[in-house]
Amino acid sequence: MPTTVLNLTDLDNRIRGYEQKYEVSSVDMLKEKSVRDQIPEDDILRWETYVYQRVRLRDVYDRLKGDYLSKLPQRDSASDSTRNPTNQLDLVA
Amino acid sequence: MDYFGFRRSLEGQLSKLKLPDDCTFQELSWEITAPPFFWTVEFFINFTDKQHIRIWESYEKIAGLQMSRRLQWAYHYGIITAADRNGNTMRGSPDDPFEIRIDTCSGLHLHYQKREPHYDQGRVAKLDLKTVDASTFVNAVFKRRKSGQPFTKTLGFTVT
Repeated sequence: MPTTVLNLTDLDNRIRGYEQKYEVSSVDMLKEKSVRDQIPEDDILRWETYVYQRVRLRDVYDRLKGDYLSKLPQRDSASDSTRNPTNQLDLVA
Repeated sequence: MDYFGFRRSLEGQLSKLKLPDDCTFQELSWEITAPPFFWTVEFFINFTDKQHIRIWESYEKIAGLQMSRRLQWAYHYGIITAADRNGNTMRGSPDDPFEIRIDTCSGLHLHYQKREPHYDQGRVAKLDLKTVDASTFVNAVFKRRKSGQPFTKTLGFTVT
């Protein structure tokens, strides 16, 4: 069964595809009745869905990133050996 | 249920569907986000007289719960006008004739026998459009085709 997995870039591309096809922004598609009246219902449903998924998926990614960062051990920048120029040169070498 | 549970459940339901002899089931098409918190599914049931049912639904998982909700949907029954190179039915033109369609574009509404008007719930009596799911719709089409009764009987509604 065909299954397509979409990430944020895929959603961006699909949204951009609709914007180019109808030469209107997603904001206008969402807000302007006169614009929506010119677009087939099936395309509006899919376009709206991609916009909604993008907004929600960004929230999910931000939350995951926040959770991840909050679990990292806090380090004192002064004692961070990788910030020591000498050590960084060692790493490059 | 989450995406995986939903998919198992839908595929199980569809495998148990008693298809009339004059129709074939076309492969489901899924789109899921990564992580799988949002998904859409589309499938077609094609009849030998060139009519088809098209089901499209969009879902999201409810955060923190093993539950999902249907966000947007379109259920369509009408003539087949487009196919891909493998002969699979595709969405045709928005101007194609159809017999019935229920969708959520700009609010839940019904189309009956023609594109206009859009009957919102205020103009549909005896049927709560929200309660019509894919299974209800498919079975109403089967009943319509078998009995010859109009959808006003098989789904039980009147429009004003």
